[in-house]
Amino acid sequence: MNPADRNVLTVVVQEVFETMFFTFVDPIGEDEMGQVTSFPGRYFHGQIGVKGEDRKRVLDIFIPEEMTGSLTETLLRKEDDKGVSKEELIDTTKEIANMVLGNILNKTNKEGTQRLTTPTAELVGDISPFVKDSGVEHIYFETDWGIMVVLFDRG
Amino acid sequence: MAFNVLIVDDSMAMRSVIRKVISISGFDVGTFFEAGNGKEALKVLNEQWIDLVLSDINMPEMDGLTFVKKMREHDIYKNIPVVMITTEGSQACIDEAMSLGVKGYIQKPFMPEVIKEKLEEIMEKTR
Repeated sequence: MNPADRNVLTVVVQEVFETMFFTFVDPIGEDEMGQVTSFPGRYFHGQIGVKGEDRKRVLDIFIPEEMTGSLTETLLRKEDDKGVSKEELIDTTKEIANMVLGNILNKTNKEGTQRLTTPTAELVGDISPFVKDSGVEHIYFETDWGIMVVLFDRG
Repeated sequence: MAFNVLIVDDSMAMRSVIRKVISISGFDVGTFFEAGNGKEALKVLNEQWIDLVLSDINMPEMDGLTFVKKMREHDIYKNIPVVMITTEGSQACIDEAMSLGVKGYIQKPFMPEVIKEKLEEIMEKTR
């Protein structure tokens, strides 16, 4: 990934997590990404794109399941012990994807007229095939719950 | 006097966040109403007395800008203050919202204080 794009993506992801969830995520340097060989556990996969363009720009985010739970509790400011539902976890994942791509577009093409698609999200098992075979630019973030992955296909 | 608030966002989590931010900010809210898109929001407006609308833009069925356009075409709803709370930050989108007379445009992610300050400003003007 070129340094400028990597910088925008990193800044946006950190802003979203720090502002909305009071959570810090650290990007793993490109030279160290090769050392990440597996992604244990399940992940919530959020996906969103840009409407009305010839090229297909898509952002995918893979958030460790336990982390999604913690983020959702923070977002909903849960004060009881009832925990969060899968519907709420899916909803949080979609909103994160929405905020990340929306803010990337805001930073890279403020004058643009692009609009976002409706985000989707699902719980997935092994994410290695998505990440390793994606062929698109991606960044790994170190978190308290494991590695979080963001893929950005610029079309 | 207590005022009724309509929160329009397809994210249940985001509706909950906005509701809590307003609640803890000390505003005298009568009832919170919620809708998952513009179409549902118009139905709420038709059935309830609403004093303030907070709306997302990117939503399925009917987006936030179309919803506000439809509000403005209606004699009863056209003067209800609207604040957009959205990730959409292109100048075209902001300009379109402003041309529809929205009172505020807040971009996600937001700090809770931003919503509080915007609502205080609106309340002050409507007093």
